[in-house]
Amino acid sequence: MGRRNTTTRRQFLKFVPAASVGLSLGNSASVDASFVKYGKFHDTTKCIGCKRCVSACKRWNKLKIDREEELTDRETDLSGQTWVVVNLTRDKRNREDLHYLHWGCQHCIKPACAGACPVKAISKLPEGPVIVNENKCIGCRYCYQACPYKVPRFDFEKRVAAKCTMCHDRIPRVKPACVSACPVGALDFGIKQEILAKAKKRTEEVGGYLLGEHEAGGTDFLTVLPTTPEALGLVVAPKKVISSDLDKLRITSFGFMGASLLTGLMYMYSRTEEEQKEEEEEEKKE
Amino acid sequence: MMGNAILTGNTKSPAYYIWISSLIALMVLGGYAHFMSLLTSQEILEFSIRIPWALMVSNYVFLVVSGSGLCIVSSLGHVFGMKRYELISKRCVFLAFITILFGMFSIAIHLGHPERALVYNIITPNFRSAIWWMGALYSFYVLFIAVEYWFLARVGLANKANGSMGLKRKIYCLMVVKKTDESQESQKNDHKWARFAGIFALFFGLSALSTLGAVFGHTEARAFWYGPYYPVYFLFSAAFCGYAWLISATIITYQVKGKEIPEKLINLLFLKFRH
Repeated sequence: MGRRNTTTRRQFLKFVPAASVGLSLGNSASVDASFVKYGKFHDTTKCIGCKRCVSACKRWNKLKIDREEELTDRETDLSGQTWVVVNLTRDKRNREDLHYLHWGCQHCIKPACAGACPVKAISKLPEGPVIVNENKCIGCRYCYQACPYKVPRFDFEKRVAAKCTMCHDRIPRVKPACVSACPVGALDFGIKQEILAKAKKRTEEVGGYLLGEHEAGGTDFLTVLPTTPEALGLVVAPKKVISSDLDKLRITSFGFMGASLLTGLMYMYSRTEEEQKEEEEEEKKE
Repeated sequence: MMGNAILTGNTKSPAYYIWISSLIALMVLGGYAHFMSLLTSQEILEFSIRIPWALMVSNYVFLVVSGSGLCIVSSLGHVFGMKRYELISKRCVFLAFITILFGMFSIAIHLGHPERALVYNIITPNFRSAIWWMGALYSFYVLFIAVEYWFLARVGLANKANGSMGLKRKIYCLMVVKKTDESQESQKNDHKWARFAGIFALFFGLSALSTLGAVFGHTEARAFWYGPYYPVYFLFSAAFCGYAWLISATIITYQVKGKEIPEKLINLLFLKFRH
């Protein structure tokens, strides 16, 4: 019996590292399945531009509050201390048509920023939010370059990238701060499928455009626009996954082809000297 | 005529002094800006929040690309075995080492937290990120370039060590790790090892350079900064940039020394062949 026990222990000890390696290598899809995905939704046709979402965001995330920004309709930009903005956008084709737009991180399903970060400081949580780990970020700002919406901004005081986290420390028990603060129901938060269905229905009612359904391979923040994003002067992201791994491999392989070409050219150039020498030697012999 | 005067003349015109003094003034200004960025905020080095990669990144790319280019030019000498290029290989490798060192310095200033970069690049590497690959490959490149330069400079240092006394001798001995052998055989051995290190330096230099191109090439969100041509463009512009560095560094060196550039070197630099 005792002998049998020792063998099982040995087998167990053999099994443990193998299992841990297997688990760490396991693909994320199987892990995702156990989580409910959440999404955020904004309806520009309902927004009244009170900017309560902005101030709620700043209070919950302990950011610097700029009173003037919140009291006027002056155009504001995202920054390390402002993670969501509400701006007045104007339809280019119909100049009298004005809409307030709540703008921030779109929480892409396949975020380009997470693939660009060299130290894995940005991650896509299985529930949906894309978050930056402030204690890990090295401040290289490559996430800003990679983002199709130019969202992650550099916080010059903390010297890290900062952006909307979809209040991942509140969900799913409490809705994100901005959604809770909205007095007219222009913002909504819930299970992704339900939110998507609601957004599609609302888009049909308004006869507008649903931003985030296909842009950048789909995003977890959906915005109902009255017209197309081009007409409103918004950033237009292509309707595909941005900076996919296959694209990166393709571009990198071109680099290695170029390097081999350069090496080949240098080798050919070095051969010319030897040929010259041989010719000279032949001349001398003659 | 003007070009000839720069190449051969060892007279120092007022323009020369104006140029040198303005260069020094700019260096002092840059040093002050760096110091203030460390004391107050990095905002000094930025244009606006919408341009996140500003002064230090362009500085880094310039230095690193020309450094890799110098490595490419130097490898013609002792990697590809072209005898006439061995004349410049030592200067090339030294410049390559200096440029990559200061390139690394400027990227450290650019980063918000360079100390974290050292730790987390090793603990949690993201193999999907071009920046990680670039950092890793350039680290290897620095290593091999340093080794290559050491082998190329060893004989000269050993000569100085044997010719001096006391503390100076000790310092020189430390620099050559007590290998003060100056014989033909040791020089041959050095050459062999320099070639070996040079092959690796060229390999890592070229791959790091194309990955640096890929850092910009991967950013699909930036319309004109994106595409497979970017790494290739970086590689070929680096070769020319390195050559330009070599020419200007040679001219400046001989100007400062107040000597004439040997004809052999001029023929090599400006591709004047005997035919």
